[in-house]
Amino acid sequence: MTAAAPLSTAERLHKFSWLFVMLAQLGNLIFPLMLLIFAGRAGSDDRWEIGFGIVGAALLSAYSLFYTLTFRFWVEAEEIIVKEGLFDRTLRHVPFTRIQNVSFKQNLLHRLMGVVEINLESGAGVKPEARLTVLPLARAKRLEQEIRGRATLIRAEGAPLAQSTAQMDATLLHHVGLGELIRLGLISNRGMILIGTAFYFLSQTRLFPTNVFKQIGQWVRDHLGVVHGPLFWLATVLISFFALLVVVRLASIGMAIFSYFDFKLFAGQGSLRVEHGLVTRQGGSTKPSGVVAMVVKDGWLYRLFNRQTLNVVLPGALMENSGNGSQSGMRHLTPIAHPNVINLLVQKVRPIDLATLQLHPIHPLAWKRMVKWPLILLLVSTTVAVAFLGYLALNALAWVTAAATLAMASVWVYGAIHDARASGFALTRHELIVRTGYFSQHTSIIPRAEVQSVSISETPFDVRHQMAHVRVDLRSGSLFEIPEVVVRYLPKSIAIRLAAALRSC
Amino acid sequence: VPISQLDPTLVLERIDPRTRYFWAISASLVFLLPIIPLGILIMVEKHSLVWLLPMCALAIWLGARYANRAIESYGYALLDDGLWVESGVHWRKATFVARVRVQHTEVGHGPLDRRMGLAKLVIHTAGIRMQHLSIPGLTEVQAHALRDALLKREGNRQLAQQVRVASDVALTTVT
Repeated sequence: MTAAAPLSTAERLHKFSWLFVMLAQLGNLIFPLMLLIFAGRAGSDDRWEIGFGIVGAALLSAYSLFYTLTFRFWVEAEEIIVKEGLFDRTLRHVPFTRIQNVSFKQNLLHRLMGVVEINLESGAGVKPEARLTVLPLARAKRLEQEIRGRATLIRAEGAPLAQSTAQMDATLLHHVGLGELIRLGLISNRGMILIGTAFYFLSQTRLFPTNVFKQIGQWVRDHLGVVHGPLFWLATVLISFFALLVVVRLASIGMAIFSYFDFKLFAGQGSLRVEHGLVTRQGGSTKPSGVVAMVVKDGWLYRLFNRQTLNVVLPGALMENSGNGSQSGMRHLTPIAHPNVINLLVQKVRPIDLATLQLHPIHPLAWKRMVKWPLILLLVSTTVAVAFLGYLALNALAWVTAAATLAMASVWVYGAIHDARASGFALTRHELIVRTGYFSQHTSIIPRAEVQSVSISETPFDVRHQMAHVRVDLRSGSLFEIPEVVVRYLPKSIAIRLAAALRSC
Repeated sequence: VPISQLDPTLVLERIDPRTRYFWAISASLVFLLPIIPLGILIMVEKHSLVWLLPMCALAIWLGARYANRAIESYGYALLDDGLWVESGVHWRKATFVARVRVQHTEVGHGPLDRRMGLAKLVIHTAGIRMQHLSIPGLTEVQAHALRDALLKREGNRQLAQQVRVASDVALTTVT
């Protein structure tokens, strides 16, 4: 490759970039536009709206066109320089060593035109350092390699520049096939949101099938021969629940395939790179040293399929995103894989062997603390409810309530015992590992250098058993996606020592 | 009941007792909250406000007591490697921020603070859940001295290394 040659020739974006800039601007304006359209419907004078529309569209296209025509970037030995802006010109120098993540996005239109949108992100801030909308695919790939290659070289110091883009070919570390994605759909609950949203929108229209429940009831009458009474209701409710379950699972599978189709993880040039998606391809690359935390997600459904998920938390560019409040670019090292594969992938970032890792346990009485008060509240409220139902002579319902409560209570106790047994922490020279939960389990692997502050806390309930909790605050991470890193219910003396050990970084 | 310290090995500095005036006011307001509907009920039923007086007195007394406890429970220690702050009467919490993790600091005063010559030191980190740690009830001089001492960086790295080795040893002996 001869990428090193045109060191400081200013380059332009792809010739159709204006189209994508305009679409992005339209995306930002979509709510005001919708408001205008819906509010405008009541008014009578349509010509004004059309006039405004035409003027707006013309201004928008002109802006997009000028923006992309005046946009320049060029690659220097140690940095990339971006010149942008129409009225307010900025010249931005982004040193390669500062670029932590490179994320990219390619929707259907991008793919049809063979272009890609690229964001260069540093460790801080909510906006990417530079956004290139859009580049031809081949140029984008070369740019990413230049960034990675030169950053490595600058750090190594003294190596000849010609080598910078040599041996760039990344090796495929991990691929997620269709079968795995179906499993992911069965495990994850994403479909719930989709179905919920769909129900909401359908309920706003006349399409909403209000009589679904009635139809199921009719079906029960016709096919099961039960006409009324508690058995009829039980059958109807169970069948409705089962139908909802099937629909949600199907939606989850659909979403898993849509988001993670052909998920690939590459390694090379001291960086990890992922790409995925059925229609919209997206992904990004990062340096393993820039990973703020890794979280292995496990749970009862995961165990059923003997799979886990490996999430990564990257610094920077959290709020600016694809619209769902999550981090941009790279979120997983794998959405789903066998625990052995997860263990290998973890080791690509940090030298931790999860299979042989010995966790320091939490307080032996922790499970009691976890269930005591929830259980007391549950039992008291159920007793009241059962007594009330008995008073109303609804004996069958009272029995069902009591039985359901008992079942729930035993599940809670079972979960708490296993949670307390599985939870714990491990401290290595450079990492803190924290595991918590049972029905939904998270194992967080945190470089100690990323710890921003440590706190110990105790509640009045902890005092009797001499327990305390240790919390760790990280540099980055989406509040919604990554659980708080907290080692709960430790014996107090251990908590104090753990906090003391975490003090230094 | 004496307040238990989370790390008994540390010697904590206390904050200025004059802070209790502000805290007593806010705590009293909290204790007054449940009294207000009760007072309205009594007023409607008995057409008298006499009952309200002892109740308000009780709320103020509870508030003052709570503020005193809160101040007793507040403490900080400037350590070689960073700052340790403990607080909370019933729900106790101690937070440590390493010197190298301090992003920037602020010394702030409210209008009442200024009248008494008090200040509040706020320490910002790059964290997401606990971005800042604050110590109220410092004198102006104390706040600036503490800030300067915290930002002094000589020999920090070496010190942090020593502390780390010591704490690793401490942990391995426990586990």
